[in-house]
Amino acid sequence: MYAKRFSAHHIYIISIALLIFAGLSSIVIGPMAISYKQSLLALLPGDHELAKHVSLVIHQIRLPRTLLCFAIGAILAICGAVLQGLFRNPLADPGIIGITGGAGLGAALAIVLFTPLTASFPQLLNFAIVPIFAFIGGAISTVLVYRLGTDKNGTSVMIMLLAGVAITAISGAGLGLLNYVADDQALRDLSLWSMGSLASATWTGIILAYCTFGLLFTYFYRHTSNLNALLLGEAEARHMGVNTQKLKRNLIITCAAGVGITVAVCGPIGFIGLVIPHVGRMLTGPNHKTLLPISALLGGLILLVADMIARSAFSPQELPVGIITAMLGAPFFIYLLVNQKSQMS
Amino acid sequence: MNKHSLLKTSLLTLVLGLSSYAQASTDSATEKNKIISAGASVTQIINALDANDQVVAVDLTSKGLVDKSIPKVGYHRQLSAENLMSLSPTHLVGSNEMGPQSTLNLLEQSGVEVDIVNSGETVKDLLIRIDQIAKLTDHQDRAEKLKQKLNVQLDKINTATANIKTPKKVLFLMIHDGRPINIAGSNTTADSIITLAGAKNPAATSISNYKPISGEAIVTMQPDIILLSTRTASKIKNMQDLIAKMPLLAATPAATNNALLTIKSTALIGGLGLESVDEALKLNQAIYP
Repeated sequence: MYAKRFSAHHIYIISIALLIFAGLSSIVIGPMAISYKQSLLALLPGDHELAKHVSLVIHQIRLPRTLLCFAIGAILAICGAVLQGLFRNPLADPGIIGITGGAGLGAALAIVLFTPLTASFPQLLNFAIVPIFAFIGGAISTVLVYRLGTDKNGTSVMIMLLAGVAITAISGAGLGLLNYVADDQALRDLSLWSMGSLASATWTGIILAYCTFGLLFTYFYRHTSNLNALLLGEAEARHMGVNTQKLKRNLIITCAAGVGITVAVCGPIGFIGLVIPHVGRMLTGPNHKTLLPISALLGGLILLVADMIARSAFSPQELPVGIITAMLGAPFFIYLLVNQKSQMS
Repeated sequence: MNKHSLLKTSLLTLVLGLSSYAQASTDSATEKNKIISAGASVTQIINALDANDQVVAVDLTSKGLVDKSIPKVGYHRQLSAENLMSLSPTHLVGSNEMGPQSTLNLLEQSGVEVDIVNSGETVKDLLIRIDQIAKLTDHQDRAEKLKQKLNVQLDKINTATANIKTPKKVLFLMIHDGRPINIAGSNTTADSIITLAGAKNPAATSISNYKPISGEAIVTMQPDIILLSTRTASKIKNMQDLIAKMPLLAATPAATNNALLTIKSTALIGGLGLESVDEALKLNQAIYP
């Protein structure tokens, strides 16, 4: 689909350099004016006699967000790359097989029906109730889509996509119903949640996200040759000895788990999973062996940049990061479409 | 780093150092508070107490209540800790809906006093809120005057409604283009204003919060008066416009008597506030002349 233009090694080196630069920038840049020197000093171990607010901002806000951005961006991008390879559809993203819709409905249920009750709950449970419901919602919808798309002859990708559309529609209807019974505050919370935000980065979330990323990447990387074979077509892949049925099932479930966890940690964040794999293919070609690492690096990088914009551009207000990823991602996607169209003609 | 930016950085460090020193010594009476007010009803009280020189930033719902130059910190349930800290406040004042909790915790850790004031829907709640904010801003003397003024307003309403046997039925409609018409049920500030004005909200028995409603349901409630917010009223100027939008309304006493009234949009946000009482008094005078 895309020509391989650069050597993968060069791209890795450049992306890693950019990622380190973005990571450091994300720690030294923020609405609060803290000098570069102080910000970086705060990261080093030992006592540097920094003002209390400096060390608070760096350790409790900027560092966790920076770390979380990378893991979340990377998970979304590799899941997008795998789903696009699996469905042989450049438009595939976690939204298309119903994960995001189901997770959204789960979270909405928690926000509208349970938040009023949770005041009396222990604080930890209070924080966790929306993420848990989001994850369960995403998992249920994936299982449903998979079941609908599978019969004794195997899994039909087309039926799965259509089932994904149907599940998304059902989730939409459920959301509409919840909107009807919700009070104004819950409505407002719901709409803000649906745009995603990294503002509530916690160390638990970060550890969860990194473990997920490590497991997913290792798992996906083991299947890169199979994914490459699948690019030739399902029948061809079967002739090459790939158990396509098992491959599809396992990859879809792992993607759903990965995306479900990102939604649980920071709400749905769009366009990373859709756009980044395309950029990766433009840079290194469609081989999943290079596509996956490059997608992970770029996904992390772009989410970092988006989050920096989200928290600094309109200071002292903060925007949900989903608005920024959509603003960055959607025009780029249109550019890709136009570009591809002109190549075809 | 060149000489200029070095100077800038050291100055900044100095200022930040000083401001954190200032935060540490808020107890001293000479030090002026730097308050971030999160919620229109809190900001209204701060204004009424003449303490607005202590406000360094407000949330979105208070936008119309302060000078344009005052920074806005966004929605009060989605406050961002670092953004708030960058304004080096001494206090964050708001309702129990303010959040998220992680932001409040961080602010407290950094030495900002987080004050959650009463945000109820009754006059008693409002009086408590006034006292709480007066104490925070050290303007207790003005609070007494403000409460006296409120009591005078409430007495006026009570005198006017003392001999009313059957209170008028008043419905509040929230109308946005392209969305179904919403009606204010119980647990809304609109309902509190209607009740306070000595009228009755027939929707409150069956509906809570704002809910979409059909024309038919409104006809069965037979309202004597329809209330709109000033924001809605800028588009729907009279009863004819409203009937054009919802033809069934023609079958209500409100339409027959051409009884369409407006209340200030800002009086409807953030619990029963000072403006809400002003509006209740105006409403009372309009319906029981």
